[in-house]
Amino acid sequence: MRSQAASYASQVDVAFWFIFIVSTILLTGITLFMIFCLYRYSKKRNPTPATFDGSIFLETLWTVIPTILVMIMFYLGYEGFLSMRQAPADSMIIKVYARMWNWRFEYPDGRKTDKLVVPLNKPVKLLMYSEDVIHSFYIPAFRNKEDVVPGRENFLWFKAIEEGTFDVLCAEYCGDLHSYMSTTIEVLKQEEYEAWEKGIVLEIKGEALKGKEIFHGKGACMACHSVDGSKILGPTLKGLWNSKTIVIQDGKEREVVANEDYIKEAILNPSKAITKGYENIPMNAYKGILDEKDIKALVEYIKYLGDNPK
Amino acid sequence: MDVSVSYNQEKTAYPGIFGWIFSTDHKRIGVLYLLSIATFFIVGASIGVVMRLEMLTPGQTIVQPRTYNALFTVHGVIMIFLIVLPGVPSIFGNFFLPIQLGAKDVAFPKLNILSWWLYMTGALIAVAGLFVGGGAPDTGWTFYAPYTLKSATNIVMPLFGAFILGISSIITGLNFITTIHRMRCPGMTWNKMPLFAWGLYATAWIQVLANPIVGITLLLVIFEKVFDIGVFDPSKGGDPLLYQHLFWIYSHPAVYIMILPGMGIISEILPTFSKKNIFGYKAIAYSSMLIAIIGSFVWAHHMFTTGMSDIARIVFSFLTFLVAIPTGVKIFNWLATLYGGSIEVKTPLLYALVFIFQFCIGGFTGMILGTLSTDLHVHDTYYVVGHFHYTMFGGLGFALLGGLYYWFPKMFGKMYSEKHSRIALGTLFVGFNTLYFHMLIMGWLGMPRRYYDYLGYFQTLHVTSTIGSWILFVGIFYMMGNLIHAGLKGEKAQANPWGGTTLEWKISSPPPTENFEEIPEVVYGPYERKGGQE
Repeated sequence: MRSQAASYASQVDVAFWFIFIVSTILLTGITLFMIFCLYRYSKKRNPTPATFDGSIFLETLWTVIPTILVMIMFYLGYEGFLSMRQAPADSMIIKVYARMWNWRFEYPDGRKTDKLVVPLNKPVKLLMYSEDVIHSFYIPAFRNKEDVVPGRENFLWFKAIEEGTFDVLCAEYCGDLHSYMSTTIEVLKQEEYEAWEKGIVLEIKGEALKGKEIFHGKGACMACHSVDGSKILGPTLKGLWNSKTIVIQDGKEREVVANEDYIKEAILNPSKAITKGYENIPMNAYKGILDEKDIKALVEYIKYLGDNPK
Repeated sequence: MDVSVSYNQEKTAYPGIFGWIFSTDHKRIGVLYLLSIATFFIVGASIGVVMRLEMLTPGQTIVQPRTYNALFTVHGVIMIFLIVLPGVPSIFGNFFLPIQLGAKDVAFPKLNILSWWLYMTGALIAVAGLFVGGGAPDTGWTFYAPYTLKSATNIVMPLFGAFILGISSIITGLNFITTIHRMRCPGMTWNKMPLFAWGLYATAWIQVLANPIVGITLLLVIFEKVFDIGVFDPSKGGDPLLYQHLFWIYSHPAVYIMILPGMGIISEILPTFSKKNIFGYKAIAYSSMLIAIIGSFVWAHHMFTTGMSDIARIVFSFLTFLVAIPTGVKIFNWLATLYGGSIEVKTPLLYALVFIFQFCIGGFTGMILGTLSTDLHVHDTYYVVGHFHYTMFGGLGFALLGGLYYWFPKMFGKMYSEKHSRIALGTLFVGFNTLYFHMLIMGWLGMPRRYYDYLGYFQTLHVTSTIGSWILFVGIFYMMGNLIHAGLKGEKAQANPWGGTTLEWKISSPPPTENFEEIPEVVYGPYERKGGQE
């Protein structure tokens, strides 16, 4: 996390360390002065108190010096802020859609992803929209965040200067699963980025692709279900197709085969039979949200995940 | 009436507890507030401990996400609206303002008891809201739109409760402004008024001027929720940023409502125990007014990441830094008051010094937040949580406790154990800093606030912080036990145990119902030690 992965991150850190050092010096001085007074001017050592009670010189001094210090701080913050807000004109535009509780990204050529992948050393400008409540797009390694407010288009730009994968978090409280509303940003070398750009289009086709879009879009399934075998909130969908699963139905355990009928029922009416081990995390029922065609596509996608363990 | 009978022994028109809850005596009302606030504080602090326990491990430790979200909301609502906002003005302001001014009561004694009734009504409505309808709100104490409007939990009752608490606060403010203008004793010019009264005066103006704004805002949220009109929800044509502006126009100055009277307490304690006149009386008094005025124009620094225009962010950052200047002036004058004194080290003084230390950390971390570039990074992280606990609890809370230890002998006529008071303070100090300093580090490392779950690499810091909460909790009960024991079994207190110079130390402990046999006349400044003034 200590990486300064965006071009302006070091400027933010300079402002931080300036204020930190000034504060530490002042706090140490103030504390030592208090301890000194307790010792030197204790009742025992100084039975007769002094009588002075004011000094125009001192009042001026401790008005002027702090004023200068805070103006330097303001200026450092202002300077860094300008770098953080002035996106170069040739920035690549990526649209960011936030909703409870996931992020979706839309690239200029129409590709949609749930992870952000960007090229190294290229300015990127995110245009951000919320579909429900206020979220906040936060990359700690970049030292930047911007709220994503419904009804507004907010932006955040960066030029990633370090390769690697960094956390993207939601920083504005948005309900039950706020702390799970995270994804990653992967910074790739130009050639790798181009390969990724091609790869993601070729990877998946037809109905399964539609299903994938619903999975990341309308259905927002990826907020709770992974496709790579990892456990998020709900069970992973990798290898689910035609597998045998234990579910709890009417308080009793039952073994089912995850075929088309089961998956359809599990989407439309999930609380009827809950996969063992997930009883405490109820899933929303999708009746009325997804139609017959959507579910068909999702089934194709799940099939694809089962056939294609990637 | 026999003036030698103290206010808490006096025979009243109503028996027992009714002699208190229907009393118009400002001192009894102060004590009522003290007990009410202490009760709510135990509840709020217990919720805080449960929250820290949940943070002990990533994932679920003891509660579900929705419960955790309700916990931090209720913790915030109780601590802000029921404790720190009314806090010092309603406890010590009520008890000591009239006495320090040489008056027999506040200007409107009946309004004064009304304010307590409204406070209790608002508090009970808010608390009842946790158990009826959709249950405890899960919105955060800031009630941001449009989340609040979409939440299925019961937000109408807590908001209406907060609205009523606002009225209570306005009444207290009006009462204090009138009292300060009209009821100062002969000779007490503005520049001879105790600094605690100055702090209350600055605060009272914010209470009267800014409270109506948040009152209207909360009502608008209720209207929007109940009648479905679009004020703040963009899907109905409203503007969520409008809510934040209206909310913070009040709630930022509210921070000064909380802290200015606390600073007033510090300005009382330091000259008393230094046996020396306060240094820079006018600078301290007028800086309170400056903080109140400038502080009313900095609210949007809570909104640097909302997408507000860049120019607005720059202007509000600049104004925010201006508040630091009068605040610094106060701190330097306090230090100069110690210098050259003949210092008697007693518990209230130690609280004042701990206040200065912790409030400085609160102030310095505030500058990181006021600085635009660094705020974009730490906004809405644990850094903010650490920062405002340093100002509100480490600052205001410790000032309030310092005030309690300073005035306890006067209020209840009993002395407490100096040794146990110091042990309690030491425990509180260690617990507080262990709990909150680690939050500052986590925030700087990028740990967002209001997170039920977190990434594994934060665990060590979370565990340390949680251990701090246990130490702090022990300290709180130690401190309360210490004072309750003193109230029951303590030695009788003298009229002026510390050698204080303000008027409350010239009457018996506890004070008689009418405060003064004859209205006193003031010749010297409140902390001047000459001409027979101690």
